Amino acid sequence: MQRNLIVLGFGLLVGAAIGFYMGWFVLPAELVDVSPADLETEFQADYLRLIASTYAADQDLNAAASRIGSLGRQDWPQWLREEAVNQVIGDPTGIETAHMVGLARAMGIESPAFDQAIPPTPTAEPEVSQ
Amino acid sequence: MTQQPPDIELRRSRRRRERQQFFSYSSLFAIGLIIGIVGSIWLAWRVFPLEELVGSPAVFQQTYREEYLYMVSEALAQTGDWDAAQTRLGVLEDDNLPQTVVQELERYLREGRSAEDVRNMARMAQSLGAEGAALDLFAPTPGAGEALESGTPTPTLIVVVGQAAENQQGLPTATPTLLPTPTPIPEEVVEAEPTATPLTAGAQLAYELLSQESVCVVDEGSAEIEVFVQDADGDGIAGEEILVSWEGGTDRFVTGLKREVDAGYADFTLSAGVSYSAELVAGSPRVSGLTIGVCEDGSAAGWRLVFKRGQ
Repeated sequence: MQRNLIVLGFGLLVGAAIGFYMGWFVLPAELVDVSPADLETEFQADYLRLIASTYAADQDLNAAASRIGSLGRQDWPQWLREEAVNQVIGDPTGIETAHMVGLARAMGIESPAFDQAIPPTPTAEPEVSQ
Repeated sequence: MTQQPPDIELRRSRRRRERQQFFSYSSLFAIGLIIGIVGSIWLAWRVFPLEELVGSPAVFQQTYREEYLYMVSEALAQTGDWDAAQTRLGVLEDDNLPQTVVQELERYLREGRSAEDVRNMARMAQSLGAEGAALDLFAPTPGAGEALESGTPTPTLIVVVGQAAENQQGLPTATPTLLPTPTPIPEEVVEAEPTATPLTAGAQLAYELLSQESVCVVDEGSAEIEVFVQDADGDGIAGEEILVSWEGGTDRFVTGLKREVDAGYADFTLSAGVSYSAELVAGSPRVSGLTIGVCEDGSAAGWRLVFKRGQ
């Protein structure tokens, strides 16, 4: 009986050595074919900004909602509000800020901070005649 | 029947036992080996990976990769922030990114995506220094760009002027409602008449209206505005955008999508009872009063407009 266990344990050790070598060096793990839901938090935040800018361009709220859904976040309303507020705090005059606020409001999300977002002004102003 | 001697029988019995034991040990070793390999590979991949696995756009499914490229091109068009676009494209870790974007542009063309999408993707590909036949056709040409930047357009063109200039300079894009109203400049509006009248546009416009004529609809076709855009030599120019507007709406279409007709050809279907105007976004006289007419044989009539790039 003891000899049987020794043989089984020896097999396990040899197998573990082979397996770790394979798993680390021959066939190391890598992510492939991921969806936005699998993105790291930082990338998800940037993805959200892209969604907002795209929504600003095409005004397609259904597409924007679908894209937000692909991020797989159950807490998306809170998250969108936080990201938009962070954007306002970081860059109140930025055009991406305007896009984020626009998307949040289109989704029915509000925050007092949104009123502090100042729409960007064009740098080259043509003459205005009354 | 002969009887085996007892010592031979004993030897055979021992060999049999040894063989059974050997197979028993082999089986145990094999079982241990398999469990060890499977278990340790799982641990190596899931629990103790040598490198941290980061979910980034670089490992997106193809569908999401295409979606990502689309959104980056839209964001670039909206913000004009090339640095941000470069950073976003960089995380795709695509060694052949310019070609990838051109392939995406070609896919847009095959799928009949909107002129806006095509133009934004072409602009991004051009910014990446990509080359390709589709890009040559649909990326903004230097001539058109100069016209956009330097033209003194009619008020309806101000939005386009602002966007084009800002996008090239990497400055924030103003939304149309934010732009102050420029000093009105007399527009060159050409009222469409049943008889075609060649006109010459002002020197500041990139294109002049070479001709306009009524075209009878044949067979089961529909009345259309047919636009031909030509260079100074009379060759068709693809990728030129035409702005068509009517009371309560506007739309855009682009030349080059029906190359079987002409590289510089595009058309727009007219609706009955609606008066349209058409002009090239790059700068041209605006032709208004384009409605469905009636030919002598009773068939419907559309319009054929030919624009030629100025010298």
